[in-house]
Amino acid sequence: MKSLKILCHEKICLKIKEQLFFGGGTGIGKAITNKLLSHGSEVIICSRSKHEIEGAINEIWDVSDIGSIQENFNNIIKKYGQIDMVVNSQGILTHSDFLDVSPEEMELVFKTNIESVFFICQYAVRYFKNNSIYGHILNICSTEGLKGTCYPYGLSKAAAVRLTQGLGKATVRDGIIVNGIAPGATATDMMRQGDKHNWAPAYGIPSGRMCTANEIANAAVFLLSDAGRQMCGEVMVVDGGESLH
Amino acid sequence: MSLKSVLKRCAKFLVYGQPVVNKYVSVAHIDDNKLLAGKKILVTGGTSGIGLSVAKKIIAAGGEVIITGRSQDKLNNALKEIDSNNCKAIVFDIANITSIKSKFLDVVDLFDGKLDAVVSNAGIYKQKNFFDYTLDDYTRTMDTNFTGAFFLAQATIKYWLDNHIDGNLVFVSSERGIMSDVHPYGLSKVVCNSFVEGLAKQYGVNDIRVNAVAPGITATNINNINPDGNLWFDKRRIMRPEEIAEVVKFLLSDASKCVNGQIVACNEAYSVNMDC
Ligand SMILES: NC(=O)c1ccc[n+]([C@@H]2O[C@H](COP(=O)([O-])OP(=O)(O)OC[C@H]3O[C@@H](n4cnc5c(N)ncnc54)[C@H](OP(=O)(O)O)[C@@H]3O)[C@@H](O)[C@H]2O)c1
Repeated sequence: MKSLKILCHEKICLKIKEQLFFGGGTGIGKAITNKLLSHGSEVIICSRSKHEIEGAINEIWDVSDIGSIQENFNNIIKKYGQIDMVVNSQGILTHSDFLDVSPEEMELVFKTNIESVFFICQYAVRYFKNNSIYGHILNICSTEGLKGTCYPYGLSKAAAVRLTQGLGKATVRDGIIVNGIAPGATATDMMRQGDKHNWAPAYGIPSGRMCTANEIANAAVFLLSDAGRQMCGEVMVVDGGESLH
Repeated sequence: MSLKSVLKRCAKFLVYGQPVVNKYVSVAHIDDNKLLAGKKILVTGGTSGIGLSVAKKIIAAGGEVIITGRSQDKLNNALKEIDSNNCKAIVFDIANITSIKSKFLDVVDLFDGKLDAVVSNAGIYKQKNFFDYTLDDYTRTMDTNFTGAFFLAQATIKYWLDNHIDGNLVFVSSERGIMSDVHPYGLSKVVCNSFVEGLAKQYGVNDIRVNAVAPGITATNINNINPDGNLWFDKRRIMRPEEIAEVVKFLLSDASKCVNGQIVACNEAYSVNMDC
């Protein structure tokens, strides 16, 4: 794969902060970053805190601060030159019961999981179009967004799925490829927080186990490569059969 | 339970192979003007369009209604138009998320402590070029069309569970929530649809029903289409608000007892996907 600059939003776990250090940030974003680095891409990770991933550039950027997206985006392009791909893998998961969800929780989850994706996509598509770049966007959604749910996480992901499909359709003629991945239960820090709430048993997954972040990254590399150019608005399910009826 | 009835149940269990649940649902011969008799129903955004039409239908079907909106003036006009003792109004901005809990209590008070059903209808529609949406456009749309409805549903379901009421929630969503979309309006309705399914699945066991209508283009203020004018656009028939209200009435009534978690598209099959 030719050298590409990729803007990759590292997954952010907010609810229990110290969990970030648990396992050293083994999120999907990191797995994708490593895989892309091994394919010879240049990767810029944007995250709220510093992550040492060998070979990747790290920029501090809290994407839930929506007002700063345009400025940050422009700064990064100024600093590092052309960007060819954008991966939205930022996301937070909370565990309140429906009756206990607070407006603050709702706002934080929606800001991070969909509002930031919406505006990053808006800027990225405009940037690709204005500069005639046949760019790629990859949104990491979730199988929670493919089914009915009354929790902020799944609801925000439902919007992310539909945005990915809509954008995929709208931009393919301009050579801009927008796709998504809907991971099922994946063994990352985010799920480890869930373990505490009995949320992540492999029980019920036909393949008998959770996905690994690397397996999600495999799908990501395919969708970001030119091998996947005829796929647009696709939200690829990688879940060991969990979401099959 | 007497010994005799226990034995009777055991015998029935042996014969039919499953426990006998005495749950009887009567839907036969529901008289149209008694369809919602005695039901107390909140309709958010009842000052015009679909909401106003729903309010009128509820009253005609024997129910009581409270309509909401952002301005007292518009509520007064609606009250005048509806012209019934069974309709009340309250200023209630659904996009003001932090006020929802207390406003909900005001609604229940106004209904003398009982609320049977809620129609989450309040909504705004602002369509722009994808590149022109500002953060303000986005949050205003999301807050009015989804987040407000979420927290109203939360307060309502809490109240129904506490008071053992078989509640009924109907969302006025949109066909735009069924199809792929890049606009905040469509995305807000996508989230509503997911929410409807999730709530129905979670609270169906408590005999709470949650459904939605997903109207196609409907002649209301939201898109400045006059229901008495030309109702044909882009090879499609434009719906009248009464048509949508009729379906909402059905979902509110016991005639739809077996319908739960459904998004009923009211658009003459426009959103039915025939391509794959
Ligand atoms: N017309 C269509 O083509 C169409 C198609 C699909 C779905 N829908 C949906 O149908 C619903 C009703 O719309 P409509 O077509 O009947 O339009 P409408 O005539 O403009 O009615 C919208 C209602 O929402 C109320 N409202 C708006 N913002 C509010 C807020 N923050 N708090 C409380 N009330 C608020 C308005 O009342 P005030 O102005 O008095 O506050 C008004 O009563 C909306 O959810 C819309 O998305 C409409």
